[in-house]
Amino acid sequence: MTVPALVRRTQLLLSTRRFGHPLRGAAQVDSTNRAMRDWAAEGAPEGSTFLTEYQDAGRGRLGRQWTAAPGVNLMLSVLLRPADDTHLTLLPLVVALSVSDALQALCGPTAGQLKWPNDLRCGPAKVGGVLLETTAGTGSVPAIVAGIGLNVNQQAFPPSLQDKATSLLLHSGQRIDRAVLLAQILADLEARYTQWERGAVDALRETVEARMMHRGQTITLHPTTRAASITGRVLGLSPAGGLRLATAVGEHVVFAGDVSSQPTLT
Amino acid sequence: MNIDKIRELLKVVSDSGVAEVEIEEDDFKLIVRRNAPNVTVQSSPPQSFGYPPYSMPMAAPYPPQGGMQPSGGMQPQGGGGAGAPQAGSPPPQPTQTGAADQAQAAADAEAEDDSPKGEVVHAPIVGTFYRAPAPDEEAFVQIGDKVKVGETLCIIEAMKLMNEIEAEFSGTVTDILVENEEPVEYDQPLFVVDPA
Repeated sequence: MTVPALVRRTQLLLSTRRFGHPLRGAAQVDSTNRAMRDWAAEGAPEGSTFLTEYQDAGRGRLGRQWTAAPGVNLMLSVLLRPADDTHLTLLPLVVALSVSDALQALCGPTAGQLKWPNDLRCGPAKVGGVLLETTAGTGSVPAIVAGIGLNVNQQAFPPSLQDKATSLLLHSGQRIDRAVLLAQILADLEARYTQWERGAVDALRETVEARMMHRGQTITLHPTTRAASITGRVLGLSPAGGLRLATAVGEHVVFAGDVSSQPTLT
Repeated sequence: MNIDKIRELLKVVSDSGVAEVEIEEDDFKLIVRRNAPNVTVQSSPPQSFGYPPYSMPMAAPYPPQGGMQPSGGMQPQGGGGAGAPQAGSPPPQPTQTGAADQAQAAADAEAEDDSPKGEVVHAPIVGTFYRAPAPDEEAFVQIGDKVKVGETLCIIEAMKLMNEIEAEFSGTVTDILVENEEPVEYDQPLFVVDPA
């Protein structure tokens, strides 16, 4: 399906009031988040959605190149213009949760586990992720661009990634209609975002926690190359969405980093 | 290897009087030295939990996972001798903090104050400080650069929410107080910008 066909077909399936209106696409962009930010600067309304078949920014990172063939996966960005930024740091989890909702609706409960803070998983392998971008410093609540990437109908991964990455096709054994999936994601995103706007953050947090990997397990978290790693048992989420860890010297909340390993307990 | 094992090991080393013990497992290496800065823990992430950003149709080009790159997996931890993993992010340690400047000034009271002039830009949120839009790209600003209102100074990331921090006033960047990829606290000084 070409991008214009995917856009048209998705529009026919949309059940939303805000999200996906309008919906634009391009066969190739550097990044959908960047395209969405440009569009936002031109006054795009909340819910505007931009999708592409092929992103060329980020290629060659780590000196390696890998991209799936166009037409098999889903890459999109959605514009959010919240009136209130009280619970802003929960938004990445809210977006990830809504994608998880859509994956579970289409592929069953074994799809769409959340790995804090932004990974979507099917079993141990990553099937997608979210990444939000915004600006701070100008006073008013800024526009937020929520980027979503999913491996949908990709049939193979390079050997180095076979254990780490999967697609909905590989997980479920079925080809997924990307227009159906996209319409489902936008519907679930609208529902979860509305819940967030209304301040139902406790319920959202509990739902995220219930779908999170590693709960109760001891994990090691690597914040960045400049910060020491932290080992602790995953307790859940802090009010702001940070990961609560029970460490050797008490509870600790982290706001950045990757849950990258489970220590070998001998 | 767990905390209790490490504690036990430290006691054994201490009691035995040996100078150095080195233990290596698949993804774990522990060196204990007496009369030295003591404990070095290095771990490299197991393959199955690696983060493969280059494979993913991520919708944005900036997942700067420095700590997860194969070459960046070493996580040396400061050794207080306890052997326990660091309990939490270390307090932010800017290379040139105001406190450091004050200490310098106090130590050399006769010298003229040469700390950079200007107004301090503080962190509006907790997170990880990034000077560049992506690991292989140039920094947004360098010392000496002139910046205008609205120009991006840095990114602070918290839970995959990338906040571009914009200049609220024009001026010249006279100091950068935080290293790339360091964790920053709310209101921590980040830049000195001379509005003149």
